[in-house]
Amino acid sequence: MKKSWLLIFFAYWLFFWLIPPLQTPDENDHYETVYWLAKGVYPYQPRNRQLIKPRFTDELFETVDLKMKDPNRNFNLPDFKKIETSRLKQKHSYSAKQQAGFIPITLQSYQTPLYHFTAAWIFKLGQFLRLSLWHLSYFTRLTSALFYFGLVYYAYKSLRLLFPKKVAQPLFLFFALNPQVIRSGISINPDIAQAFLAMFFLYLVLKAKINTIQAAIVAGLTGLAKFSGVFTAPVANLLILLTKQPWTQKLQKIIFFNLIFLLLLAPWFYLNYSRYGTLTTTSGFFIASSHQIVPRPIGKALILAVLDFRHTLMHFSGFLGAGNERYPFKFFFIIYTVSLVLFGFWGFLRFIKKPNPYRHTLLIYGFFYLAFLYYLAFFFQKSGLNWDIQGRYFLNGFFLLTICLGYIIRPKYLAMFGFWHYLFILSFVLIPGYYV
Amino acid sequence: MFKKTIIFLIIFSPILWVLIIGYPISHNRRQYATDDFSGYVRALSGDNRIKGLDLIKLVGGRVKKLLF
Repeated sequence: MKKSWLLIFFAYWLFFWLIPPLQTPDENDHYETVYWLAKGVYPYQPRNRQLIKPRFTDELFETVDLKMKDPNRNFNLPDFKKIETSRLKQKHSYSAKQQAGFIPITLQSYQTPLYHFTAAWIFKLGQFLRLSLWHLSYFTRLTSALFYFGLVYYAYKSLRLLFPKKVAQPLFLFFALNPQVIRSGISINPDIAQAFLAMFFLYLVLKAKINTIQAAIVAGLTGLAKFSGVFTAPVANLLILLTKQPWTQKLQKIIFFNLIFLLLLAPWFYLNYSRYGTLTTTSGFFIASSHQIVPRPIGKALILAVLDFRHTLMHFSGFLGAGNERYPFKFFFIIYTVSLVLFGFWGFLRFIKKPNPYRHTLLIYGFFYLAFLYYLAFFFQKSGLNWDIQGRYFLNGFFLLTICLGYIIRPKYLAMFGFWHYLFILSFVLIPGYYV
Repeated sequence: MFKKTIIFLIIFSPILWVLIIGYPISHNRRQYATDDFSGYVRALSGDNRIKGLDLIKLVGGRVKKLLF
């Protein structure tokens, strides 16, 4: 097991240093949110499609040059001369006058804020250490590193509950070495925090060593890390309902659970209501969209929402870049996605056939997890926003798929493929995508 | 098992492939990465390739510029 951890540790840090800053969709807006929270200001959402300038992340954004692209190419290499001579490497902060001019508006301020608050403390620590603004962006990514290692740790602990060590260990390697999982654990984004807390929640409910208060706190924190984490609440409610207890006791626990859960989310609801007049902040989605929004009929949206998951799974083949524009050869990602669906589904059939003490818990967890993401995909399609369900939203889903794959493919081969896949993406996506 | 794994990794390691075969650095080098594999092979047939120690130096130098 030590060797596996060493391998994951090495694989993670290699990607961490090789992937330049802001290389995940919306990462600059998440970083902007972190900056404002570190200053003690809760940033606002834009009220319209206004140009938000000047901002703290502008210079970093320009240095990494995310928006300028040769029209004949899918992506540009970073401008290393510009990066080498960047003033961001010399200065530790902006002048008071410049800082006073920054606008506290970010497109990601509609998110629940637990990840950003955690990152704000790490950001402040980086400032205290007098890191340059360039290196501060790397240092802030340590927040995601913490959540990544937490995620894979509880992924392994959960796998150990389900499988013997010789099966759990290779499955764990397959999961932890996936380039999408690693990438999500590097960039500044709340998905990794939500994935970690949802995994921790899963581990606790699988172990059944959790009382109502603990479950409510973990579920509430998962929702606070990213709103999609609220799927843990129906999971807990149903699990309480299925326990062998008198109805009055069940009812008491359910009321108690939901009360604590809502209490944890209440400050965020209140903030939204007081600022925007709504409890959640989906209006931010519409403002953030740059294309013309044309709503779709329900039937079409229901079908397209299912098809949306092809992108989600595709991303696990090793998509990188701020617009997912760096990806492996097409035939590889198509075969990867198709295999994941077929083997995953086949494995799922075996999983439900085979008696397993954790089967119903995993089914309930998987059902509500998928139901939430499906609803989100449906909402995006119905409203005409057309946003896809990104791979990083589906980290826990990929873990469930890993379990299913363990029923079909020899775990040893899965681990070997996982390691090969990591090297393949390193060699054919990451290095040519950023360095050659 | 350990020996087999090492042999597997030596034969199939993509990082070794690129060190031995290299990356094409002709005008279309940005396309091959997202093209099909034959695009990569076609691009390799050009004269301009970077491989082995030169590749390590190039990537190492650029990583250094990025981080320091």
